[in-house]
Amino acid sequence: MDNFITIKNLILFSNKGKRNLIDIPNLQFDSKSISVIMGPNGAGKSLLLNLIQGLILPNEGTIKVNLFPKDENQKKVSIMMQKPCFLRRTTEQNIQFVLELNNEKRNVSILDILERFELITQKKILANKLSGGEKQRLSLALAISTNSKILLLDEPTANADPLTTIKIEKIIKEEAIAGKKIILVTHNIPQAKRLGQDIAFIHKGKVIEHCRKTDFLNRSKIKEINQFLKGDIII
Amino acid sequence: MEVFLKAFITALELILNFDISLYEIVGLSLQISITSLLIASIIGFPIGVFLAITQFSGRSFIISIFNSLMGMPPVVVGLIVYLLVSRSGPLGWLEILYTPYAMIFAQLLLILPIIISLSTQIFEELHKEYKDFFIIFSVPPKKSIIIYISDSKDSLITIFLAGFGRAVSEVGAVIIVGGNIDHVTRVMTTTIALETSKGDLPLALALGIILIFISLIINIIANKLKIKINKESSL
Repeated sequence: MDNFITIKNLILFSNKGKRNLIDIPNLQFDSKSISVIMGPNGAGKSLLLNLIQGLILPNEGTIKVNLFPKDENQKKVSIMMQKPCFLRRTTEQNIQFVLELNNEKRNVSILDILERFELITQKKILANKLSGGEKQRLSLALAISTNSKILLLDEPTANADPLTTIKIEKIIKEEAIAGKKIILVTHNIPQAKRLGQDIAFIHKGKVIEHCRKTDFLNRSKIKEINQFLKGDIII
Repeated sequence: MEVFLKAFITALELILNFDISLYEIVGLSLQISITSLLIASIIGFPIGVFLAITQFSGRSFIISIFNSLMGMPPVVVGLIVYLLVSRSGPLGWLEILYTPYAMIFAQLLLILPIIISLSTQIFEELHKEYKDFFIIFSVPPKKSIIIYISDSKDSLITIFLAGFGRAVSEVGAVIIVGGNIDHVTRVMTTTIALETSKGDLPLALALGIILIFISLIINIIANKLKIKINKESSL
């Protein structure tokens, strides 16, 4: 493990300050794999992604990304949120805006992106009027268009049908092969099996396990993880 | 009824005979109102964005002040501008009292709170939608101001109309600082006030009809523009 992302003593209090929403003393991700974050609802998975992205600032602790010298001019992190947010513009204009903003010099045209994410017929539709699955595809397209080194994906296939899920997973794999670090939040155990190399399990804001996928799925001795894998309700 | 009919005929005669003094008065009215409106928009919209998207102590107080200033009596504004630009005032060196510049200044002070207050509310709504998007894609502050303004075009037209309505119909301030000098600072509203005081009701009423007609035309144009913007953005 090359400790590409290092999280140290990360604490986020609730508004009332009575409990820690996130309490992670130590967590590392390497630079190459697709890392999966799993856990029950309200465990703090999305919060952790938002903290890594910088949408929320922690009360204590640090998140350090060790970019290689060749990647230093590259944008560090981009996120695909559970509830995507767009400009009040068309699908095409949203993509165009993000490409222009990042002064995108790669040979990528808006048309290529629209085709890759199967949004050609929706290009003139207002982004906020797209269906749930289309919004997710657009959100992923925007996140990828920034050409960031790290992609944070918060349940990227939550509203997608099986065919769209396959397409989105294919794109995620392609991006990982292209050298991007991907951190994926999902409830979908088969998806974690298909995509992940390592899995971190969060429960009540704490990372109670972070190990290789095979170890996680076959040999975990932690009660909550076994309950989660069996589909039991975790309290 | 006879007075109204006579006024209507007088108005038609004045318009169709291309009465030079009438067109001069109408032209000056529009020139002053539109100039003050444009200046107020250039200053007011960025201030509106700033107040909507930044958090600082005293922000609510400043917003309350602008809200209160929306209802400021024009004669009070006229008096303040008079004191500022009169020979002994702090801006006396400008020598603009009884000139159209003083009238623009007075109207600017009247419109600016309207532009700032109403636009702040619109930008606050948009900010709720755009905040995360701007953080995720690292949109620079200058660019975000432009986006806030351009993406609320249709709502800003309504504010523009409210400002224009306030400016073009205003009499108290412009009569104090303009002096209602024939061929120099005489505008529609001050002429109406003058002719009414002289007992020439048909002419006053004729000008009133022209004033309403102009407002109507500007509203129609603005609404057409709004519909066009809405159509373009809902494709």
